[in-house]
Amino acid sequence: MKRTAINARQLGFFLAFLLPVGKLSELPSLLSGKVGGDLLLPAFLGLTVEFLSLFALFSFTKKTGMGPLAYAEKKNAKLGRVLRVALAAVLLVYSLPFLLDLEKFCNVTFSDTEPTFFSFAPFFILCGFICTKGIKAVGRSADLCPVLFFLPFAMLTVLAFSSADLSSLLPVFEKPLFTNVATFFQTAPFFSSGLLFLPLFDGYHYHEGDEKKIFPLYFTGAAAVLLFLALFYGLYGPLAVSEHYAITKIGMFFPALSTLGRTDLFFVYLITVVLFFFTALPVQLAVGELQKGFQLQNSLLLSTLINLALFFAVLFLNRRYNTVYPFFIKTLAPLYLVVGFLLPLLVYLGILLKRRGQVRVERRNKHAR
Amino acid sequence: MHAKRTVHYYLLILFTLAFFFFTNDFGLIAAQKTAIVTAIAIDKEEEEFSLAVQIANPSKDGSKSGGGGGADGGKEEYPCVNGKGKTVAEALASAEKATGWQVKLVFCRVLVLGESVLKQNCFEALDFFLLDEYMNATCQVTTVNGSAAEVLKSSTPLGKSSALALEKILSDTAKTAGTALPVSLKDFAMGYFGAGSSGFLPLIEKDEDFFKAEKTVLVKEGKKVGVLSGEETFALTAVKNPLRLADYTFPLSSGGCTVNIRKSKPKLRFSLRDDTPTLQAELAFYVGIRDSVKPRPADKLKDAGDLPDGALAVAEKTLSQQIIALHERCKAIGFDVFEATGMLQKYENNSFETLKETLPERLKLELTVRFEGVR
Repeated sequence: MKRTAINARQLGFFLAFLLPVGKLSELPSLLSGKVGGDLLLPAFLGLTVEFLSLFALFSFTKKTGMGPLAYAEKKNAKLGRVLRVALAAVLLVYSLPFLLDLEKFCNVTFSDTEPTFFSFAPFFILCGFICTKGIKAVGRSADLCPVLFFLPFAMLTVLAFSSADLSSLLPVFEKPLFTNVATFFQTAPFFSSGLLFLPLFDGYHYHEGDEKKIFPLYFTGAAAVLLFLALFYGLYGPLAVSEHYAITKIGMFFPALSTLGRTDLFFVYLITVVLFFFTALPVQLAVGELQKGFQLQNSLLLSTLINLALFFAVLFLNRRYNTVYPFFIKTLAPLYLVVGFLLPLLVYLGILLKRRGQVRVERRNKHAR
Repeated sequence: MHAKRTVHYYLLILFTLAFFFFTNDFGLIAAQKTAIVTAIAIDKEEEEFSLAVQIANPSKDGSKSGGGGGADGGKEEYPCVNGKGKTVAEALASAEKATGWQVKLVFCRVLVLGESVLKQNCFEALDFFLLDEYMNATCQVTTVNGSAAEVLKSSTPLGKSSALALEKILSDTAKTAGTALPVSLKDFAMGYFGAGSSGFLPLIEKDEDFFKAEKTVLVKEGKKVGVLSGEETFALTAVKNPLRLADYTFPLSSGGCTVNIRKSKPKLRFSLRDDTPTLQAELAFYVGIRDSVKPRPADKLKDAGDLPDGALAVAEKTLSQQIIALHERCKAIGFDVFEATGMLQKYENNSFETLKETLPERLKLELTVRFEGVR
């Protein structure tokens, strides 16, 4: 059996327990602000798009035995390296709104009054360290996530259930279909995980029956996101639009907590660790791609420089949050969709057509003989 | 080689953390400079907000708050700091200036709105708290007749902190027992921003040094539009919430009788029947005898489910009359007391725009009240 940097179990855990966490912070309030109780519809559309990019890349890897980037590099080494550098650039831009959100998320979760930006700075030390590790580290982080994510998520869900009024989601389709589709496009970065899958599938090799592990685990994560969104809207209704960093706010209304205090924060802290992994992931993958693109031996200097640059970028952009955040989320959405969704679909279709062509040629040759 | 590198990493981390520590103390604020706010009273005087901010100020000898006397020479453990300003934020900042304390809202448990605040849209004052990420969303909102600051500054025999006394009478237990209709900041705001733009606030009154919150203020678009009596508040609670261990007293030919509602199951269904908005309310109460004016023989004391003859029918009739009276009264002032506008939006959305304005006046109530004796 071929040794892989990330195996099917780890990939499945990544999809079920690490990937959803990026959708539990700012996305719920963004969706609620645009479509209110219909928030499950654009989310479902987004998850479908995300699944299609996963399916396309998985099938590509199954058919060719390698990820699209490695395949491109094999066919044309120079082109492959250029693609890697370009993807790294997109990944770094993609990471910025998540970094901006994480900083504010930490302020709300860990502090009683707003701290200075420097309180968040140690995150870049952690991120810098993670970036020096390869895709193997993603698999190992994913192995930790069932405990770090699943148990706290289940507990927060139970706490939220008693106070949530799910009838707040009614009426379904209150907003026109166009608004729901437009909302999906305006929140596309949260569903553009194809960007992350592209470099990840470089470290994965298909083994018989892997789809039976990977796809059900993806659906588990997607179902968790939909359940979370429903509970969040059930708790806050028309106020949901103003409730940022949703995961910190769903457990607090459990009646016993008025006596016990905010013990739900313990579960939030555990999920925050997963959020650290998630937020560092695009940076980690970008460093890996740059290292391969420029054929660097050591990633330490590269990681330090990139994290230093991101630190100053977040420090600078943080003060202009209201201007830059919509730019990263809405204006750049087409870029993320092209690279994270269309590109995986096109490479899959490309390999399908190529295989069909080969089969046709083989048949013709056989017939001619 | 590897171990040598590890030491370098640790030194780097140590250096970085030391840098952050010596430059800004990790952004921490000294506890002595922080004011832990337990309650805020908001009044409006002409165009200015006037705030009384109650602060927990534990004495240095570690003596507990509450109780009667001031062992530390009458030093206040829950001082109220005043502030004024054109906005609530400015008023809070002026209180900060006066004391040098940095106000911390995360432990604020009660907001008391003065009568003057509810004459205009009370969200002129409350949206400040909704905007603050550190405000406690489970904080109770309540109102008073007259000045809110006066109520917050007064003490009760239950302890020096009026906030704690208010919190007790506005607990979840009070809600399930039907003695008050407490509401959190989040729920009150949800009502205001919801389909009906309405809500309820418990009215705090003082009765022989103790606070009580039997009455309920009706709020429409942020303004006070009426007050429900204690009896009406109970009737409303019986329709809105499941009750538990709630006492209900009603008249009997042999004198008064009190039953204990062990649990209740209110079921509300909204529908449009021939364009008439109809609310079907099916209320089931499982009760045991608590007490009656007429003394009971020994064999009637053995089972709480053994109620006086006809008591259940009288209880059903009395509560039904109270609920219908509540409905008629609110209908007359155009107040959507059963929050049917929200149900109209959810279940009959096509008629929402045409009916939402006239719904409170047109709403038909079909009520079924059932009392069942349980041991």
